[in-house]
Amino acid sequence: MVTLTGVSLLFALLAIGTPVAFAMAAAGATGLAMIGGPAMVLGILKTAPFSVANSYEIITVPMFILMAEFVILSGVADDLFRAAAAWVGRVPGGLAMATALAGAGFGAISGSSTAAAATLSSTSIPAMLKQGYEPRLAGGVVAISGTLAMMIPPSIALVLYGIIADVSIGALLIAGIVPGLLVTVTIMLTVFVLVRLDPTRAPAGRAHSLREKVASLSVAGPMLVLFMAVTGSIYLGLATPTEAAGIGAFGAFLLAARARRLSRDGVARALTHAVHATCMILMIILGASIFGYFFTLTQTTQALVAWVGALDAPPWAIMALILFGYVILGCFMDQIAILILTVPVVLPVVVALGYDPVWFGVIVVLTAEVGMVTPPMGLNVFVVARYTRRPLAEIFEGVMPHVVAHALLIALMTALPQIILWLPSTMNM
Amino acid sequence: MGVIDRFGRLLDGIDKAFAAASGVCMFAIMLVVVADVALRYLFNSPLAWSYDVISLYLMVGMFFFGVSDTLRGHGHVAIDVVQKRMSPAGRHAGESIGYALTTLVAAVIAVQAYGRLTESWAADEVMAGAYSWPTWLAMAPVVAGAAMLTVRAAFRTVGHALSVLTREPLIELPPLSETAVSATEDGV
Repeated sequence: MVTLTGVSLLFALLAIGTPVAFAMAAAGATGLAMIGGPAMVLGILKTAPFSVANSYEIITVPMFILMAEFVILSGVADDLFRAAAAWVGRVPGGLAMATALAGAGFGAISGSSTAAAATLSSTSIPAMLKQGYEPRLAGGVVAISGTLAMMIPPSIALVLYGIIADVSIGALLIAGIVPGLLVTVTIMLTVFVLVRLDPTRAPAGRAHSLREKVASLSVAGPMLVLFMAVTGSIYLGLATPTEAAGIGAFGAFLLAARARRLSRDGVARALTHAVHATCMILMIILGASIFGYFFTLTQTTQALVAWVGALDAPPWAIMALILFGYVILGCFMDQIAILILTVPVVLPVVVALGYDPVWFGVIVVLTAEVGMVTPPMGLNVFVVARYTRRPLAEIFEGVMPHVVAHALLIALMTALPQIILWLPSTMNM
Repeated sequence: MGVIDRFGRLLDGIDKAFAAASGVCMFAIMLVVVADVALRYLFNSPLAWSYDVISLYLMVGMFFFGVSDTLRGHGHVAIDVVQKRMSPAGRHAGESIGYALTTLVAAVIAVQAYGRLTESWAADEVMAGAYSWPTWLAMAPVVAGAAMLTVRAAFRTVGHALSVLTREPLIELPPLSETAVSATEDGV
């Protein structure tokens, strides 16, 4: 009964528009008061807020966010699309494929999916439309390519999962590389099939000379340095993820300085954006920790694990059901909020089923990518629609073939977990 | 200019000053981490104080000085699926109820943090480590930030309630996701 009241209050507050973090804090505090009286609430509100921020490991989140902001400020990502287009722009659908490659490149130096979608929108969509691409195809490929930043390290989503689930952040980040590349290839293949089915969707582009192609690679230099400084140093065991995140932010800051883009206003804006994004996440963690105390006391998680354990169903069927639940949640909730809210409850069930927590982290983020582009809460689609001033429905339609391809990829990685787990198993830890 | 507007501007000013402090903390975290790593690898002499200063002061300061300004900029994500189908009056009412509960929680956090601050001040509490870092100093941003959050949430509670009663939008409603991405521009 107490559990039901707390959970109902949470959903009621979410429904009337209360920010997720405050809804969880208020519902959790109410539930705690019902279980242990006001003294329990006072005790937890005395310690929980300070404990959330008083952590060294958590600086990985703000540092990766700051790195993304400085990367945008530096403008190095602006040329990514042009470089990719020089190499693959000639084939049918080439500019759309170049968008996926640029998305992967952006993802390798930034962990922010919406930032990736915004950057790609401003560079690749005008180029595609100019060449006569179907707007639906162009918008769809940009929205899905933006999600690559969530998976390819540095990934803020995977860092958060690691913190919540108490799983090695280094292993998680490295585990994101192979699936990230596979998603890139899948997006390119989907474009290939779409253009094969109807060649008028994407007229072939002009050829680039070898000189142009080689010249376009100049953008790759600073990117590679930044990628190696962060992901390379984690893989080789030279730096912890927290150190790598700080170095990454500083590296991106230097790139902005090198590009002479370090105005006082620009830096202040980057810092303010990063502060807002970090506080939003930390506040959700605080709300979830208050709600978590309440939820733990109700013993719902243990009951859930016992109930699932007693089910006479194969583990893969239960996993399919869990992932389906994530897709549904992703339709109306923010991905970060879903992660923080559900992982503490779902992970024990997943581990009891015999699945690896690193594998699950990657799969959950892969599923979250789908949530970023499906209605009605498809954040990346909103970003693309706003930047391009095209109707939302058109972009949602354009992204649908990619959602189907994504679902097939998730099924493949569920059937063959080694795809995800192989690379982290070779790490220098 | 009405009382609500004037008070709103005062709050905005304080929030922006706090946010600037939060940004300084974030930038300092970056510099300290890089200096620490550089000194460790190049000179084999890491900063003995970096871990404590970052987790005890800079990280706590960054979060609590920035949390209310994030609310000012509608940066805390909310779910607006139901809101899109509500009348403006209904939305104002919903916001008012949600912020009333938020005010309560934030106020308790502020009061409890103040209690911890005075206790550790009186007991001259320090964090054990290579250096003796005073605990009360770490609690100061929690008190200030939670107090500011309380005032901002209370301001929204009253503003939205008055908007329902007077049938006039005295305080702005948060932007809906299809019309603006202000909350999510900073998103992940």
